[in-house]
Amino acid sequence: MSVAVAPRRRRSPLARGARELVAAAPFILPSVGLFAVFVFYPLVRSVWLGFHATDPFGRHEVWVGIDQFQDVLTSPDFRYSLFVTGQFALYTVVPATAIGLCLALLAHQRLPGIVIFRTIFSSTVASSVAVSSVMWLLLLNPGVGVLNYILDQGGLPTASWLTDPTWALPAVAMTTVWMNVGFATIVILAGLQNIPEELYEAARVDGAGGRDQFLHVTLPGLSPTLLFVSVVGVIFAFQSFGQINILTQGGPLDSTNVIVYSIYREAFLHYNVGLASAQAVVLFVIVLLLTFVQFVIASRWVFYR
Amino acid sequence: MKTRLRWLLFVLVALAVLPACRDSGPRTSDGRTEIILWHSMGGLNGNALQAIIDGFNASQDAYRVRPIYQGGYPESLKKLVSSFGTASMPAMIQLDDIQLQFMVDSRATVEMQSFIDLDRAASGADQGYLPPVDLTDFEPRALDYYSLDGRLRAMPFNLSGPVLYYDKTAFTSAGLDPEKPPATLEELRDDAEKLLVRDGGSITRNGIALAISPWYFEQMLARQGAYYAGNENGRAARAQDVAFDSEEGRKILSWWQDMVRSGLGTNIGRQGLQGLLSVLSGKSAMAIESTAAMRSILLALGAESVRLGTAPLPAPESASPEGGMVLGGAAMWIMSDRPDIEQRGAWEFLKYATQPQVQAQWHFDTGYFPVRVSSWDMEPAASLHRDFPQFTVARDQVLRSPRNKITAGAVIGPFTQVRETISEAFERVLVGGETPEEALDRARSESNRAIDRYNRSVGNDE
Amino acid sequence: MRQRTAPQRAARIAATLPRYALLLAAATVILFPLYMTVVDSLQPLEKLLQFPPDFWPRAPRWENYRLAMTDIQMPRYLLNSLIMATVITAGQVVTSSLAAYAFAFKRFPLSSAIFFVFLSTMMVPWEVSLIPNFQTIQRLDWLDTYQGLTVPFLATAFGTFLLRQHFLTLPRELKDAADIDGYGDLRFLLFVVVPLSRAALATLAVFSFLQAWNQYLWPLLITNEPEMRTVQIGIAALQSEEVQQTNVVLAGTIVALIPMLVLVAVFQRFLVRGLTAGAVKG
Repeated sequence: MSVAVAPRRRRSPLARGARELVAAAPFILPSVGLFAVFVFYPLVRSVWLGFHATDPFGRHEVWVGIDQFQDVLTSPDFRYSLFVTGQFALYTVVPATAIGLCLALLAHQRLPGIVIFRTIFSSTVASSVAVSSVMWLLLLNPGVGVLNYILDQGGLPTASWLTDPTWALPAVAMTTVWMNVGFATIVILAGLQNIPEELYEAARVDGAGGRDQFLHVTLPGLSPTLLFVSVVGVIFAFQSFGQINILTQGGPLDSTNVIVYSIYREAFLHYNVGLASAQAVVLFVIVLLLTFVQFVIASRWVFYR
Repeated sequence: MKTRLRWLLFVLVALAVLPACRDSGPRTSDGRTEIILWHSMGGLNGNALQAIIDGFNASQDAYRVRPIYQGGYPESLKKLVSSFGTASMPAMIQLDDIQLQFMVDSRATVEMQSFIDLDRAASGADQGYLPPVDLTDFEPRALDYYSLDGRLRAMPFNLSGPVLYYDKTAFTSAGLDPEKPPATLEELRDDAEKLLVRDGGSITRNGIALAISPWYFEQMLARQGAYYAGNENGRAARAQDVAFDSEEGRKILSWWQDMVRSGLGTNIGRQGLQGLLSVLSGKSAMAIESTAAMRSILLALGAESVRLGTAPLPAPESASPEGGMVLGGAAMWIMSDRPDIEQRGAWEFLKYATQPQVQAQWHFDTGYFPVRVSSWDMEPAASLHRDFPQFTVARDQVLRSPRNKITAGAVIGPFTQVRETISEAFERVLVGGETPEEALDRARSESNRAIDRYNRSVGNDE
Repeated sequence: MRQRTAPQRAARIAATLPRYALLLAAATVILFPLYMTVVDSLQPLEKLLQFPPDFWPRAPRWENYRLAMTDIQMPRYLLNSLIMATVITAGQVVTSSLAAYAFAFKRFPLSSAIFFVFLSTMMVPWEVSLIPNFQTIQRLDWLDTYQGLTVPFLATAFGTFLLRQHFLTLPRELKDAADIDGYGDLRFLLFVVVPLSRAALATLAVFSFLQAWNQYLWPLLITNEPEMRTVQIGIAALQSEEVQQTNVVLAGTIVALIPMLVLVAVFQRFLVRGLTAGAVKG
């Protein structure tokens, strides 16, 4: 009961605030320190580097104003790279979400042994980008790969998947879709399980058939989940690097040169750190804008219960 | 409780700070100075390099060379750049020819010339284990390549050049003389027409498998006696631009485009080695490929190898006699960041590795040309030429090349990027349907932009 | 439960058959790439180069797996990955528990602003901070070290958010009781909050481990020496370096995948919770 009898002192709110902050500091400082060094400082430094030309050996950093940003924004290569990234996002997000939805619907049934199928459908989440790419590299081999064999057996045209500028991006996207389908399935399945059974019952009472139930109960109920899956998918697409590096190195004819790869190539293969940083900053701004758009969409169209 | 919390924080901080202490003094292992060598020799060539290293390590007891395979040259260079100013830097690195200007600009290397001069000035034990290097017995074209302002910057180590491989039985069955391969691009086209085999509508054997390689372009340009870069290939003064968008450059791309369009040749993309494989499997009658692959291919073929002929890389009829091969390959660099004793050990190793006898063995094991002129006639190099006359063709192509600023090869800072623009020009012409003029124009402006940016960034003060 | 008649049961089973057929077909498509990799990892090399490909290893060559473990340094890569993923997981669990505790149980000025700053780190794409972080690690001379592989990842806003959400569901009375008993913050966190949050912590741990194990770009940049490669960098590098041993490399790929498959299968419950943390409003 020592608390109760302690002499009461007048405390200024400022002093109390300071004391509280000091008491909380040990808990938040480890994270704050790491964020400062590895997130915020790099952000500032990237902007700074974007305004400086650097030599490949890290000796000179010369102020060049907005030259490099101008270079980035006017260069056809960067614009093409943006276009490729957008294409890649489209090729990966739409199929992965659609397939994930189908798989989740399949796995949502009440059947004996369904758990096994759920595990199988979500298994690709365990597969890393390196593992998946090495696996698909062989499947996509134009000469001895299984994919061309199956297409050929089915009487369909085959392709030099990774060396043909028309097919390289779809082929890389195919690998990525396979990788991401596990994640999409898991999340959508959880979303399905969150839709209350009463809603379906009410719909049945109103005489809704299977199709109506799907359109008027399942889809609206899933809308936040589907939005989440596609937003995360877009983020994944914007960060994709490993599959590009292993499968195509940005080629042929830059057809798979997504922005992250372009930054990597500029900084670590061409040693233009300044120019690469300018690209990174532009990318950051684009991602910010996209996030803003996503918030707008979410607030307008998504049905939150 | 407070103390336990402090302890916890201490651990966190320690985790972040402690391991920053790493040594940067000379590396040693059981009393010897350890010389780290980053190289790009995989497979058989890696074994041959290991044999040289074993020989050196056994020949003395002050140094031990430890090789680390770093993947291809670009990966190795990337790692080197990231290790600038850190303790991970190796004492010695093997890099391909086109990094010459880049490495010189890095100011992180020691010129070979300074070791040579030091050895010469010293006497007795100070000269090291081996006598001073006598450059007169070194392949002069390789020295030309790696010399800037008359000073040898890196030690040429593995030299190779592209040659034309052809299937002699295909030549015979097409009514061509198997001992008279095409010498010019025009002849090659004529021969390809005869070598083409159709089965109904489809081609079952094409004339030549053509791989997209900026290196072949460089060599064909040099064969015509044309400069690749400005300021006489960057050897009179630092190159400010490229010069490959010339009549000679366009000729190469036009020929390539014509061969692929007419079906006489097939474009096999950037996967180089595929070409030689399609000659062996009978899908193509000819292919252009480096001599670096010759050794393992001929060895694998065994008695079958007589089927495979080699010829000098063909050039357009109009080629000037000023032209010839660029003998770059790859070279060893010694890094100035490492302690003197390690640099010294690296130099001792290079002296050992470039002895005529060692080079004769190296040529025998790998097919790379020896850097010593006297190695050609030594065993086991000579036996290689007895068994496989294909090597002699490749050798003569080198030895017949004139020595000038064209065949010395271009020196460009951002050569990797410039090469990339050439590869893309090929793709634009072969896959994208652009004309050679358009493609080379674009390659030129992209290259010049890269050169300009690079030159400005390194200060451009030399 | 009323017993159904035999015909009714047969009809029920017949009705479920097409569903199983669909499920099986989908499972086959999903598993096919993995299956083919397993097949190829058991083949001799010449079988990999032949066309048409084999869909069944007629004479499984288990030797490939032995070679993967002895010839191509797989154990070393696996060890590096294990160390890296364990340190990152432990670090993230510790730093986010501490931060989440402060945000959930402690009152201090600017706490919501600081929390917002935490969340805002999720808005900075990793590739934007890549170059400066690389330079930082290079300057610290941390290339080719475990601290270089792990330290930049020791804090996580996502984990802090996840744990804070959970901590907020714990009854406030616990904290009051602890204050009265004279429990300090750390003891309260360790002996009351942590035991009550096992599931949330497991979720974070599984999630962190999986992410860390599967990293590619960062380890690619900061490891030069083969001895420091993680398993992801190892197999990607081997795939281009060891063309004559593609089958062995594929065996290594399977070896790299197995620990994660087991992790995902065993901790699926926690993983789902982690993956859906952002999707379902909580």
